[in-house]
Amino acid sequence: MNAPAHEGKAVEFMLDGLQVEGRAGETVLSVARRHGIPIPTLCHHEAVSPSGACRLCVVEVFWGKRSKIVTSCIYTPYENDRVETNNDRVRSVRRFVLELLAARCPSAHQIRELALEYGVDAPRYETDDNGKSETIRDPLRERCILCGLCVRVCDEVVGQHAIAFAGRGMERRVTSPFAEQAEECIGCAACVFICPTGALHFEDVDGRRVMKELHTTVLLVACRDCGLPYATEKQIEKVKSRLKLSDEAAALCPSCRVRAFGGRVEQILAKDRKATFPWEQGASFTLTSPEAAFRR
Amino acid sequence: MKTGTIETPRQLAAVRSSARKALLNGHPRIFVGTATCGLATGAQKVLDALHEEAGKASSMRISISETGCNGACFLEPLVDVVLPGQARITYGHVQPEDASGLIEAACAGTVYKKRIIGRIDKEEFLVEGTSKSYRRGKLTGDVKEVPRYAALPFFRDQVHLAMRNCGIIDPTSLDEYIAKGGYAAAAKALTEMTPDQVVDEITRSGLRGRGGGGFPTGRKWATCRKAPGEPKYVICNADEGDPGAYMDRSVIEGDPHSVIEGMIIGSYAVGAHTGYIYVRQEYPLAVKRLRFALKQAEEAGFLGENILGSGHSFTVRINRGAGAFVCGESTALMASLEGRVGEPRAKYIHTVEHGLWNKPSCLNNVETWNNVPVVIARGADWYASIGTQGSKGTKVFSLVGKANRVGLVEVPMGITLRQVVEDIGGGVPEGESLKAVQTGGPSGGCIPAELFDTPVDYESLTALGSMMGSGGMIVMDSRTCMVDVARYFLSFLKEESCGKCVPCREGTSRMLQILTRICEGKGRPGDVELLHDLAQGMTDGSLCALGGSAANPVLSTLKYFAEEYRAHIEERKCPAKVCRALITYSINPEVCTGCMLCLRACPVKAITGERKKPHIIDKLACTKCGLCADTCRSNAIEVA
Amino acid sequence: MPDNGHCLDDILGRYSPEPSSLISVLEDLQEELHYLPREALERISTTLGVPRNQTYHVATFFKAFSLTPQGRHTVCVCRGTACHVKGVDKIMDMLQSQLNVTEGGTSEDGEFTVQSVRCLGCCALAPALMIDRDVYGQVTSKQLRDILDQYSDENRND
Repeated sequence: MNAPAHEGKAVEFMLDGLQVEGRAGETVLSVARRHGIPIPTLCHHEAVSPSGACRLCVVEVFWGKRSKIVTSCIYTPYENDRVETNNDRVRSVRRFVLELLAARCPSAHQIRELALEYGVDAPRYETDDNGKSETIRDPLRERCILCGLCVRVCDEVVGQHAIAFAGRGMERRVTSPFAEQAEECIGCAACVFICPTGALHFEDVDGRRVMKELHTTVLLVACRDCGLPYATEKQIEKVKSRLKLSDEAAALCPSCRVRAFGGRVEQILAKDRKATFPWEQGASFTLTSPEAAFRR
Repeated sequence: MKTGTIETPRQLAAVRSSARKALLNGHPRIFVGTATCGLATGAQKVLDALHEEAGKASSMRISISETGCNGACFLEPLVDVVLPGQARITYGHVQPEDASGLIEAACAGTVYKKRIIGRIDKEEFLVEGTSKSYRRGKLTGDVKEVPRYAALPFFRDQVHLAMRNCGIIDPTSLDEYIAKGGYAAAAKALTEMTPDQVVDEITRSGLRGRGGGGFPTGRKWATCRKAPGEPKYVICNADEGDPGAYMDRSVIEGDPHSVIEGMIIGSYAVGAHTGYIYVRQEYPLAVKRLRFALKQAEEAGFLGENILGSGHSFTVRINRGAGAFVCGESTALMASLEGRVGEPRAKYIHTVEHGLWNKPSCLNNVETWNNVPVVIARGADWYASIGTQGSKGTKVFSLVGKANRVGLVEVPMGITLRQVVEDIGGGVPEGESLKAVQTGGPSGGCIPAELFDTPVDYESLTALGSMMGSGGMIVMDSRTCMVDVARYFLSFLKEESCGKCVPCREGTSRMLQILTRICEGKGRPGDVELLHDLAQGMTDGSLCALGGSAANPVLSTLKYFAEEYRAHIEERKCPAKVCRALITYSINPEVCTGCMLCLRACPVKAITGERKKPHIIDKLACTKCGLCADTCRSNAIEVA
Repeated sequence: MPDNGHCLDDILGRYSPEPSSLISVLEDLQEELHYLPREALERISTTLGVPRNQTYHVATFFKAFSLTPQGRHTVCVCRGTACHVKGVDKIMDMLQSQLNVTEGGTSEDGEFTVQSVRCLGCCALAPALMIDRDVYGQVTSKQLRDILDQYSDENRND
């Protein structure tokens, strides 16, 4: 039996008629992107682990006389697989998914645009009542496609676990744990940025960052020099510990920081920390501001 | 009798020998079926009454034990009496009042004349392929009059491999399990065979997964054995989520050690030292029996270090489900074992290589594990001589629904549906006609009566648009609405969908929406096409088999019962008179006696009338619940 | 509540303090208290090292768990295929009307919570229902009152 690419071996396979190489552990999606072959995705983002939930990235894999539909974001090819990324069957699955999502989230224009590309202009399903439980109050229901990117970015990248999925089936929803103020939330708004349909929002008002749909408010901190409330208290704490920023640097907003330290890395970092960053060990590195590191 | 630690196969043989003598000793023995079904029909009261009567008859030593279910659930409460030197007689529909008569007859060595069902002449030792007759000398006249099981239509065509001990032994007695040849297969595998030889034996037997997938068991074990990674795990899927199926519950309640023994052999074959049994939370008695059996097995040394001196160690833990059908799916089950929600993941990454905690894991169904000792003890060739070319061995089915004789039946693969439903099940009640049988649970489909000459095996059922599934076989008659059946399954699947992937979460909900409208008489042109589109999308696009096979109930009923759909959509009629929105209840004034019973029974007070005058149902208030028809003694209520 | 804290201590002591024990712990707690109190869930998260968002998802994903207090007795009506075909809907209707609740709700006196389960595995005795751990088979609407009465105050053995 052939071993798949995820078993630590590179494989050769056919991708839309092209002979290509899949590196050890590489998914079909990654290979396709390397070769400029477009595959649409909704629940995928390079910053987080793949989910396989939206089914938009499906492709058809043929081997011998058999074939199956797989999600290219997870599937690692076997030697001699023949993959088709855009045939009728594949497009039919994508159209199916988009029609269902367009009916679920009529306010999500990103979905409607993508659906139109696949020939769906008016979903054939009711948009007023689509089987959701009436007892669950879900402020995200107009736009949330339950892709889970927000949950994954908070779990895996930020590491705060402040966003939860809850419920099952049509009662599945995104919320804060227990649908209340999430003490874990640092208000970094990574979830807002990563959301493909703009279902999550934040608002800075009266010195507070309000994560409306997550029932959570976090205090903002003003820059010591210019007074701009530029980040939340918890965010600064986290960044300080993660990047080992000095107290001085942490008290300033990005613009004031640049003005004060002019890109001299050594002065921004805390004096008493151990040398752990790659550039300190010889690798080259471009410094971006901590906030920018969280932006898409 | 309490068995101490058994450290070698020779000690096991010695225990077996003495336990067997005790089993066949000269005292009358009474077994009461106290599995969940038995208890639900009042077996506890029967058991208590028997104990009481036996206490009074203190001159004679009678042992009274509890036992599992032999499958004849339509006859519960069941009581077996072993008359020494004669036979084992089964009684059905036993009531507490029968206790004194049963005890008296047992003491006298005669047959209690009421509630007789049948007799068994020998104690079978299936694991060895031998048997021992109960008879010593001639059979008495009254015993001869009791029909043999082999003559009873319910039992005649059955072959009890998985159910070999169910309803026969006391599931809480390790000695009885050993007396029947229990743990001999484990001893053989662990001390006389290499792991590769064990895998080979299972492969050659042709045993396929009994949970529904039908995957060749030997091939799964071989892959797991070869997979790199430590530690490895063996898992027993006792979630049994298919509604209408309860084979696994009965095996666990009636013969828990058979599952443990199978897992011991499997662990040895693949190289695992830890096992998990995942039991659905809705089976409290099964969990209790299993916990007790595990403790016994540990104390006897069948679990733990250096089992039977083989050097192999293995321990088993029980985890309970928490009310999620999706956790019967292997990757979701493993997620649940890890303390996470039961969300399946892609099957491209095989669980035999990356399963529980990403380690090689061999997951099999209860019935599969239970068959393993039989295969090892009797050999692959013997096992492969039963069944068909592609489907070896037997399968336990829960034959339920409208059949006259409902219960668990174990038959060789290849028997026809007609034989199961009509010969064994006795067809449907007088006045109704057999319409269809539903197999495979929510992933399966309905097979119409015209196709009942189809053999029961994996491929044949799949070819008809259904599947073997875990064994649920629901018999439907002319009073079952097939559109309602499809709607029922979709409502189940919608609730049970984990919600992760779009095709299943949204698709099951939309299918249900359409089917509900059709059942309410609000079907639209284009609905059937939309159902087909949904079916195609869900089958191709879903992440796991829950969504991937969710369309089967709809597709199979559309295929075979298209006429019913048409009647619902175009004529707004329900031919089977089930769909409440499409039927009306009325009282026939010529038959009604004016007894006022229905008036009182109606929960919404929709019936009016005076004593001795015909009553009237207010059609606007009527909710079509049917309680009036249940109450009426004159058959005056009509449904149109 | 001091009682609950003590009970939770017992339960946590039965399992190793790691994420894989989560569901077993929740099950034992649900069985003991008939629901999962918020404070208990917080403590469980901390003790087992499970992030709160995961605990919350697990507690809301599985039908066996309830985050709100339930009645003293849980009536589980079987919605299996055999029970459906044998008319369990009628039983559910009757039950709801007699106890004046809707499915999932608890009677006013706090005695009974009515739920449906997707299969008790008593298919040969359809229609079936389970009250606490007692299973009743071939239930007719007429028998319901008598069955429920067995659980009322006067008949309970204390």
